Amino acid sequence: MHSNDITRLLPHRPPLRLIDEILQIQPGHILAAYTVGGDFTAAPVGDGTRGAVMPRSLVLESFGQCAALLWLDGAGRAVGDQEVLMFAAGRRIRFLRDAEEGDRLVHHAALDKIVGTTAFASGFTQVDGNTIAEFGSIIAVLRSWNSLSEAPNNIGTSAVALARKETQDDCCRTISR
Amino acid sequence: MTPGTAAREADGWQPAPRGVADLGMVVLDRWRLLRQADRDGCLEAEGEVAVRGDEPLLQAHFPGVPIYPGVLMLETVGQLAMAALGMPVVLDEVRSVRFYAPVLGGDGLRVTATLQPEGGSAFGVTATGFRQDGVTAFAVRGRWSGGPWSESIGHAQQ
Repeated sequence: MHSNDITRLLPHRPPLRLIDEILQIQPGHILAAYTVGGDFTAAPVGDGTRGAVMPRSLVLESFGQCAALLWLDGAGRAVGDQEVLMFAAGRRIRFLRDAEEGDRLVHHAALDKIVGTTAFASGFTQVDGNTIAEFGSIIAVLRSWNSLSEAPNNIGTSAVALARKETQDDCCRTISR
Repeated sequence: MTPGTAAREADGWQPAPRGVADLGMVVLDRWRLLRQADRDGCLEAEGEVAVRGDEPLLQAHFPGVPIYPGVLMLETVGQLAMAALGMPVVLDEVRSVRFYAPVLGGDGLRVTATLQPEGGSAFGVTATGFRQDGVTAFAVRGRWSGGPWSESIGHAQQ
């Protein structure tokens, strides 16, 4: 997949398009990369000996875009002109280390399941072979523009219900310990 | 001092400090403490941000339909925690997050958050975001870390 394919499939535009290369893609799995630039910085929390880092929320965004590429490529389509691709829910997301400017994020994402216009993905992100973030479950939805002005829970009741069920399952497991 | 200014101060609102993350846009305009740290160290705060829609990040997400990215809602929560604790914080874990309704350009977002120490520099956050029309935009449970909690509580109690 070429960079033009990324532009064709993903609706995100600079400065918030956070994937610049697809390294490997096959049904259900993708490796994609992003080199941390200077568009965004965050002061590292700590002893002040390290330089600016990529905000961890944007590491999450970058991974989400990687997973979205896998979904869209597998579906053989891009986000339509009257559609929006949205982050619906997430669970068990952990950040282990920061990514500094110049680091090459390599996302390993798996598409776990698709339910209608809702996709579930998971994976991790590495820099120089070291895992810096883990994504237990990421849920994205494709919605029509018109639906954005509808009543509450218009991100997708199915996505919310699925996320709630998974959270309840987690709570039951926690209580039973 | 005008009555409006006095009322604003009495409500406890104050401008948000400059964020740790330079995102090229404001993700928290003002904040206030709702409940100071109790015996368990928990405190509660709320913050607000006005999403314009013409910011470069919003124009990129997405062209023609500016939508406040979900990940930036996490940034808003983090910067609210930073304001309440008086020190930089970093996101360690998102235990769960759900986005219920989009926040579009022109919308306002109000976030209420409860912060609870979890040992060392770590603290748990349970936060909910509401659009200006009262619709719930998101709910998140996570863990952030920053400086020693004892120092943070000292700031929150001032």
